[in-house]
Amino acid sequence: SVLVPVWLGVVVAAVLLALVLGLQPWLASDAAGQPLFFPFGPRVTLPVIVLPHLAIGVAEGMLSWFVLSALEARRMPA
Amino acid sequence: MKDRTLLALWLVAVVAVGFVHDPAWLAALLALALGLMLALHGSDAWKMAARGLAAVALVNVTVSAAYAIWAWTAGESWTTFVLRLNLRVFLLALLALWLTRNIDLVRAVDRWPSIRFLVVIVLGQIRALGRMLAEHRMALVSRSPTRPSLKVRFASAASQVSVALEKTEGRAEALNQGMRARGFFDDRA
Repeated sequence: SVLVPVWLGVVVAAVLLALVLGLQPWLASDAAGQPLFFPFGPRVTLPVIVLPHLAIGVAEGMLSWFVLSALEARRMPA
Repeated sequence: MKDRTLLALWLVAVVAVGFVHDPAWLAALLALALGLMLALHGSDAWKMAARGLAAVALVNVTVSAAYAIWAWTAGESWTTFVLRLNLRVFLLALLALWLTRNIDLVRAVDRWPSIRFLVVIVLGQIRALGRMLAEHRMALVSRSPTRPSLKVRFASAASQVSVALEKTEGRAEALNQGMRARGFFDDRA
């Protein structure tokens, strides 16, 4: 129950960031076609950012699960 | 007032730098910023510049090299964009470092109680955890006649994480109770 939401949180954030970065060449280029802020489109940013975050999301999910388990084990009875 | 003015100036400068695209102008602005920092802080300005460079180097070198290789293989020009990217990002990093050195963030946002509340919580956590890490590091050094082995350093790091978790949980609970007592949560339903 912890792994999936944490993994989704990481991956959704990565997809949104990749899309924001990937839209930059389309949004802002000069007259010569040179990008003003970021050069690569979504065909580059999506795989480069999202693929590593599929694994990072699993690691973050496991870390969250470990921390929550440790807190639960230390919780004093009410 | 001084801190609020600094924050406003920084915000205006960051937005303004986003509208400058000519590498020559960006280089001139960078030289101006470095000159002002040298005049205000002396040789510390070079330390700030080195920190700024270290902060942006990894991402900037990666993006610049990737773009240069792609443009070279496609037979297109890459210098304008690489100069524009690196000068702008370095200038923004310098401005941010200069601001963090000169501003009292709590005073800067004291007109907006909600933001001040968040800033105080975040700064309090950073200072408390920073002090705890410094104390652990000093304790390890003072109890080690020679340089501690990797195994000892791992054990020390594990104990720091455990203490940090315990303290964070304790502080979160105290904060939660304090906010509940002051009516921040309306969970009677």
